Amino acid sequence: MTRIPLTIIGGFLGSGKTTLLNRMLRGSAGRRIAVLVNDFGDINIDAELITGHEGSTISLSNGCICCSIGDSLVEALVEVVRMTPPPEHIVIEASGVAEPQNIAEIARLDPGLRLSGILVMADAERVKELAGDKFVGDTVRHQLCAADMILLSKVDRVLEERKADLHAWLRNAIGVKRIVETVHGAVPMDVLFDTDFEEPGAGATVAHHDHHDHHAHDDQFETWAFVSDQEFDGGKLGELLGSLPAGVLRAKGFLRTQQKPGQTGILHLVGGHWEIAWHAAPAGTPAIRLVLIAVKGTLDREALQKRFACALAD
Amino acid sequence: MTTTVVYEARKILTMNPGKPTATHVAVRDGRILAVGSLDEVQAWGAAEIDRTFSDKVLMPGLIEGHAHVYEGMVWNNIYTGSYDRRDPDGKVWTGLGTIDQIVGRLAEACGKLDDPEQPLIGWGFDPLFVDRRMVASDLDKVSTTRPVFIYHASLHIINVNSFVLERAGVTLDTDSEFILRDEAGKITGELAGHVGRYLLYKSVGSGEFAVPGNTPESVRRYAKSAQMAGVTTVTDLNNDLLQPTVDSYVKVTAEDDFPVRLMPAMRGTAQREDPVGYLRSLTELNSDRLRFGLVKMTVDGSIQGFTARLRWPGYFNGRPNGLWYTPPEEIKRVLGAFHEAGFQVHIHTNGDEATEAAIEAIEAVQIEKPRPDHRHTLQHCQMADAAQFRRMAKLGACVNLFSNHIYYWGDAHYSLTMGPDRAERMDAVASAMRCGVPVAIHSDAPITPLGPLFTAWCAVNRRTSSGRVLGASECISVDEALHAITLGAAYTLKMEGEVGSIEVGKYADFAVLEDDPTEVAPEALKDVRVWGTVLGGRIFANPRVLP
Repeated sequence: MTRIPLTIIGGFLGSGKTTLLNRMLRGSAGRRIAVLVNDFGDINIDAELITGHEGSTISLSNGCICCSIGDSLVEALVEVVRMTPPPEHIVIEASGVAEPQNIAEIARLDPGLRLSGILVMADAERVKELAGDKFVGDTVRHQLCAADMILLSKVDRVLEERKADLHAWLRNAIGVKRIVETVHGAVPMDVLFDTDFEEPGAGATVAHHDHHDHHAHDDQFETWAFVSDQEFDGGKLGELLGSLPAGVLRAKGFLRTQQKPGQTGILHLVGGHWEIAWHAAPAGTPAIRLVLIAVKGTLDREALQKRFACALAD
Repeated sequence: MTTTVVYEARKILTMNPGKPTATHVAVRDGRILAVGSLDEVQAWGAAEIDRTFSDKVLMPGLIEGHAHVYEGMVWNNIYTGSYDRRDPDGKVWTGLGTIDQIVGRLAEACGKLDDPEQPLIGWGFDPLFVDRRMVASDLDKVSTTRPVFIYHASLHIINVNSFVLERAGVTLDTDSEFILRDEAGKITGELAGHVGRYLLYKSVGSGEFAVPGNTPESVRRYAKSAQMAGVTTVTDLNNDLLQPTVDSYVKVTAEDDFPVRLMPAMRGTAQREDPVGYLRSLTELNSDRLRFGLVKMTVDGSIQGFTARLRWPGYFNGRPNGLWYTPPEEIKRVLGAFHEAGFQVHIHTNGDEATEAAIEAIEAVQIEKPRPDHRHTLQHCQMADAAQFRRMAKLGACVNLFSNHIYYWGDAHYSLTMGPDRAERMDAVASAMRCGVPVAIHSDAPITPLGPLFTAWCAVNRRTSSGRVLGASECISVDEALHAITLGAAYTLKMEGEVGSIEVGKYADFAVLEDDPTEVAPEALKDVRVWGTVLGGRIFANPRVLP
């Protein structure tokens, strides 16, 4: 059974979640995404994109659907995962006061789902003030702490020094290492999604991806790839993935290990956690291909090459 | 020609301080024409004298300011609580004190199900009051071939059988704080919070929630539940008011034998294009038995579920602070919109930090758009202190306190959630009155049983289920409590000009009692027997069910 990847978009009221979701729905690049939102009213889908509207679900001409959460996220999500055919990706807009890690727990427990990341939006203009608010300060801080990456929105509205101060505050006071700046919800799809490598040995996808990388750079990101015809040592690989540089946003690709002969693993890593889905498949060429996407300036390529090579089986 | 009926009673408690008691009440056109002695009420001319109540005590129809139509739906499932509870048909379901008894009741119900796939659902289970912890293997004795699950009274946890666990994909290795384990580390079949609910719904379907809105039958049963308790005006204090629900309300409240005046409160944060305009359009459907116009908002969760927002020093057992269900700035925005449009907003706050946020929101909208007599009402408001009550009084707000909590969860609040000091001033009716806040008290049915006389007993005696008196200084007199469940509650609904006392011009709505609540011992207030009600002059006798 393919597990449906689930992305959670968190962040306090007014942090820019809706803008981001709008972009996702429009730029889904052929993926049939189901987006669960708190309020249709805010989403503002172009009328010419809408092909159907039934109850709490709007269907779009690009194959995506948009569902309103209503009073119960749990019921809305159950409805979406039971759809036939199931969506290729689910995105949940967490309510402005939700603790996103609680929603993530659902993806962790349901064998039909796979957590594809908790992305928390933070309004560059307001987040620091909100984090000190007497009523909602703790809620805002919990949300930020739960993030696999923080999408710092509205950065065009703050001065450079203020931005630097925000980065330092998020890193030091909140303890978040992965921060991506965004304006009007613009974030490369490679950062938002990790579904390029669903099928083992899909060479075409890899090529497509290479092309993408270049485009994705933006000047905020850098990518690095590891390719090998050997196999990893499972234990060493685990240690390595648990200790990647703090700026790594995502890692994805396929790999083989000595411990799982005859199987190809699909790696999905976001922020601090990762998982490998195994499929029985003969080794392709190359046997391993992994791509890391990181905040620019955080990857020491030489050191990475050395560390990944060391994780190969003897 | 209009007829006048004079009801004779052993005693009439009018709740009108100008004429506190009487023996006769004359009714014409569904309204009260006169109150007093037979001579006095006959001054209006010829009347038929009805002696049905000659040995009964009449009070104004009781008013439940905070309950939910869900009370009419829970009885589709099996009651598994530890207190005796009466269903809308008048049958008393005995409280069950052991797991074996609960399993027995469920097994009996299971035997009556025809559809082999149909889930068997229990409700009202309270783990604090049974002999041991319920586990999946207990419910396996009910069935291993269909889903069996039981909602805890707190609604936070659900016990399921192995069939559900298996379908949900829960295995021995499943590790989550939402899937509970016993001391030995074994999975118990208790699924917690929204994660537990997700696993349950995904594996067995969302059951009763699959149908949007409320059916006519559930509204009728809700009204029956109210009637059984002597209630003639009842709220449904948080409803999205989808079209099917509105249709059900309009349909059943027009039926001659519908026994209550129903006041639904629209969930203020429910998604729709123009919430204020929608509510305004609903008010055009208003009748003498259906009154749209209330709004409900929810600030935080529950204290016993540790989701209420507390001020310092937080939860007594050190649990982290609870959750904002609606963030304070959103409360302010939505409240502001309805406030400006002239609607009355009922705001759920359990923890004292949530109460603080609600008070600040009311203050802000009052400064921005001052509006006399708005009567926005804080609902539950269980942890408010005197300073907060004083601010509420100054701002023109009302409060509806959750007195039943003292009995059902008072012991848990004392030892677990709030600690002694704050538990002793929870649901502080006396403080609220001293500070000049108009007060009502409520059941939040089906969270606790619908029964204003029981709620009054709680406010008067403040006894927990273990017998502890929780804060004697917050006890109120019987008269004050009877006021709270009649005129007091009516005031919080802006209905005190029409109901809540037996006075000329008001609706002829009465609670018909076998005993006089002002003469029984205060400790026996909850045992006062309800014979039935009168609504707009029509008699509704409660079904007599043999125990």
